[in-house]
Amino acid sequence: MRPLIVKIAEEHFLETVIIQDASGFLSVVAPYLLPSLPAKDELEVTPLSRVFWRDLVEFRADGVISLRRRDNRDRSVPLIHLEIEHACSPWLGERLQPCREAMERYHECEILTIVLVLHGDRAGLVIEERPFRWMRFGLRGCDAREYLAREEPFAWAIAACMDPGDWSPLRHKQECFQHLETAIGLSRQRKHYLSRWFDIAIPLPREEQDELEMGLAEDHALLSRYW
Amino acid sequence: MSDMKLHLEGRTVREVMIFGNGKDSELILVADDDTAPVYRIAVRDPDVSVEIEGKVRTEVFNDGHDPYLGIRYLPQEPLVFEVCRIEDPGGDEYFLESLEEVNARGEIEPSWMIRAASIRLSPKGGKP
Repeated sequence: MRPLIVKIAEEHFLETVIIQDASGFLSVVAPYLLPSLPAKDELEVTPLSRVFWRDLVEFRADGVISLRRRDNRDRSVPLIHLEIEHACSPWLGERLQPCREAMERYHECEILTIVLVLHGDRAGLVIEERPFRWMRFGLRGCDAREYLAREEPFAWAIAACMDPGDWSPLRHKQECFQHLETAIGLSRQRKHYLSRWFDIAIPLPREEQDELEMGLAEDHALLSRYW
Repeated sequence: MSDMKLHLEGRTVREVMIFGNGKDSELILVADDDTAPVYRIAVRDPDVSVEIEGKVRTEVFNDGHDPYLGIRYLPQEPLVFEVCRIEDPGGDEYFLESLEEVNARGEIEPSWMIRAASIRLSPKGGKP
């Protein structure tokens, strides 16, 4: 029995899909979480250090994203504290609190904590009020097709964790790869990361994986670039 | 901690594994019966005890992922799950339903993370 691959890939997902595409993350998630946020092109989005120290204890957030208005007007936008979780639990807020407090002390600004729950949560947005105000966004149960239809590669990445409806897992994965094939302006490296993520997020039985690879092999350009 | 009994109690053990790190850990429980579901339980800040009476082979592995460590217990004689309990994170209905839901891979993945689990393996048929 092998460990669940999706879990061991969270770090990979974070580094390659979100940190490298913080802007994409915001444009997908922000309309739900931050309706008052300025338009995407008015903001400068910068991933910051994820490590904080408090009383000689190290805290490591999954992601910290700084938002600044391009026109240098007031900093009325919060710092985004991002956590990726496999599942949720009633004590998660308490568990995240020390890290958030360390971050608040360090940055001295408003912080918005967002938890992306890859599996094991109700679909969509839940706003929690304790022990501080934070939000979680459950991917499981959301409509994968809706997110695959979006233009941001980040949306395709989270669609791999979503409900594919009547698609089989094989079809779901094929649809994800299809977006890589047709993506314009996506670097080779990011295509590689996304294809890796799809492999991790949608594990297939050996025979179906073979079928997928054969299908991709027929598209020799995709195969030679990303496989 | 209030705990919940998993359906594995009394079943023969094929494998018990804990894998990951403090934030992202996973407890895998497998009965030696292809009709029984495999439990894949997300664990954070693990407080897992595994008590074993009988012969087991213990493997420590990394599986090629730098930040993670795994421990796998493989019985070398017939052992059963005498005790197999996990923390009840609050009696949430959605969580309780997920404990009964077997996915397409024949696995049960509880919807919420837990911290604590208590497992005791003992010889099948009682002590010799």
